[in-house]
Amino acid sequence: MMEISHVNVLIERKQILTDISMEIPKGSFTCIIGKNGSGKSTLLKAINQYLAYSGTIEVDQQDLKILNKDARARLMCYLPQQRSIPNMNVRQLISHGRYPHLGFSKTLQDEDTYIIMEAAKLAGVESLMERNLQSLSGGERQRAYIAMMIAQDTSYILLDEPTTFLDVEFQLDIMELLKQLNERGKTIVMVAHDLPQAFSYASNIILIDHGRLIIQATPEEMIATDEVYACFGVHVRTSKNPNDLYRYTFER
Amino acid sequence: MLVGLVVLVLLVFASLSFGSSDTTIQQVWSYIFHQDNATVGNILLYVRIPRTIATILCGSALAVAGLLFQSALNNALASSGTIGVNSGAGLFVILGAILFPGVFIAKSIFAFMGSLLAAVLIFFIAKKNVSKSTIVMAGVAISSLLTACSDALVTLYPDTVMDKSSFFIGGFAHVQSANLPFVSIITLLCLLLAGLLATRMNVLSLGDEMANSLGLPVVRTRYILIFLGATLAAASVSIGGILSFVGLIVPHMMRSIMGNDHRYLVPSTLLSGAILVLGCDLVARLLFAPFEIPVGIILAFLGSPFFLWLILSRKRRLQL
Repeated sequence: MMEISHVNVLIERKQILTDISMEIPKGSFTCIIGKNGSGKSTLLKAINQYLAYSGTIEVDQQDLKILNKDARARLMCYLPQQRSIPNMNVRQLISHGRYPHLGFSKTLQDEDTYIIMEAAKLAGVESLMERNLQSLSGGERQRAYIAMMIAQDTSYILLDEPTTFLDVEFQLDIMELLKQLNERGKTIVMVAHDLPQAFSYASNIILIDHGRLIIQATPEEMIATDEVYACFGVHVRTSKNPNDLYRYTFER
Repeated sequence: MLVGLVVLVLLVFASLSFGSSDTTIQQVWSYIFHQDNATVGNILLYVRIPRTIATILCGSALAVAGLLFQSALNNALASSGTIGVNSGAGLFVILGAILFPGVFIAKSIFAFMGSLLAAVLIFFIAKKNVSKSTIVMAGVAISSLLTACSDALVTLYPDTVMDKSSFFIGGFAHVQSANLPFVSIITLLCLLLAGLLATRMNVLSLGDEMANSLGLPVVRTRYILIFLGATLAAASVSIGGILSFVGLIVPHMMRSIMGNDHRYLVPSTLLSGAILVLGCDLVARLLFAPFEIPVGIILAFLGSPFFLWLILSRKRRLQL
C-alpha cells in the first residue's frame, strides 16, 4: 500500500501540488490522469523522492523521506518520460537494474546475471541484448527500459507516460507487458495521457487538476461521474464496437 | 588493454634510453644491468626516471580527470582544460610560489585549491540547467579570467621562483625526484577511487532521474567525481604545468574504442593518457635534440584540431 498524506510541492515559489492525499492499493494498476501541467508527473517525481515536498509518502508503512536510497530502490522503480539515450547496449542497460541489490563493490553475481536474462526474456528483448540502445526503435527501447525495471525487482513500478511517442502497435505492446507484470503481483502506477487506454487497463484511476486530487475511483465509478467531462470536456464511455482498440472510448 | 600495456612498456624503455644528452642506448642498458657508469647513472636517476614517472602520472591523472568531469557534468566537452580547472590550479600555484617560494607541498595544496574552486564554479553553473555548450563557454570565460589573474600576478611579481614558460605551456624538463612521492601517492589513490566509482558513473550516464530511481545519491556522486577530478588535475599541474587537451582527447578516443562502460573506460583511459603524454614528451625531447620543446606544444598541435573536429562534427554536436 502506498499512502500519500497532505503532499504539497512548491517549485520556484509556484505551488504545483496542493494537499494531495490518497492511498494506492498494493497490486493495483493505477493510472494518474489529468490535463497537461496538472501536476501528474510532479506527483510521480515526488513519490520517487526526486522533488522536495511537504507531507508524507509511505510505501508498505515505510516513510520514503527517511528510507535510505538503496532500500527505496529495492522497493520501487521509476521510468521518467524524458531521458537521454545513453551509448550502451541492452545488456548493460538491464544490468543497471541490479544496482541497488549489489554490495559496495557493485559487482554482478551469477544470480544477478540470471535475473537479467529472465527480465530480458519477459520483456521480449533477449534477442536485442548486444544491440546499442541508440540503434533501437522507440518501442524496442521502451521494452529494454522496462526489462531494466523488471531486473530491479521492486514491488512498485512507476512510469511517466510510457507509451508517449510510440506507434499504436508498440503502445499496445507496452501496455500488455505492464498488464502481465501487474498480474504477477507488481503494483503499477503510471501517468497516462490516453484516456481510453488508461480506462481499459487500470483498476484504479486518479484524476488530478491544477495540482489537486479531484477523484480516485475505478474506471466504472469514474465514468458514472462528470469529473472527467469537467476536466477534459469529453465523456469516457464503454465501447460498443468490438473492433475498437480499447474497451473504453471517448466522445464529446 | 594488453596492447596498451605493451606500448607503454616500450615507451618507458624508449624514455629511459633516449634524451637530449649524447648517452647511447648501450651505455644506458649497461648501467641498468651493471651500474658501471656514474654519469649515465646520474642522468638516469635524476633526470630520465623521475621524468618518465612524472609523464606517466600526469598523463593518466589528466586523462582520468577529464573522464570524471565528463561524467560529473554529463558533458562530452568537459575536461580540466576546457572548464578552467587547469587555469585555476595554475593561478593558485603562482600564488603558492609567491607566498611560499620553494615549498613544493604548498604548490600542490594551492594547485588543489585552485582546481577545486574552478570545478565547483562550473558545477554550480551546470546546476542551473544551462545547455552543455553553455557550460563549456562558461569554462572558457572562467579559464580566461583565471589566466588573466595568473598573468597579472606574474607581471606584479616577476621574481617568483618558478619556470614560468615551461609551467604555462606544460613540460617535464625540470621535474625533481624529491617532489614525486607526494604527488604519486595522491594520484594513485585518486585513480584507485575512480576505478571504484566506475559502476556509479555508468548509472549516472542514464540521467539524474533514473540514477536517483536506482538508489544512486546523484548530487553526492557528482561532488565526489569533481573532487577527484580536481585533485588529479592539481597533482598533474603541480609537476607538469598546464597541459592541455589530454583530458579531452583520451576519454573520447577510448569511448570510440571501448564503448561507454566505465569499468573498462577508467583503466583504458588511464593507460592511454600515460601513453599519449609519454609519447609526446619523447617527441618533444627528440624532435630538435639536443634542444627540447615543452611537451605542451606537441599536445596542443594534436589537441587543437581534435577539439575543433569535436565541436564542428554534426553527429557529435547532437550528443553535446
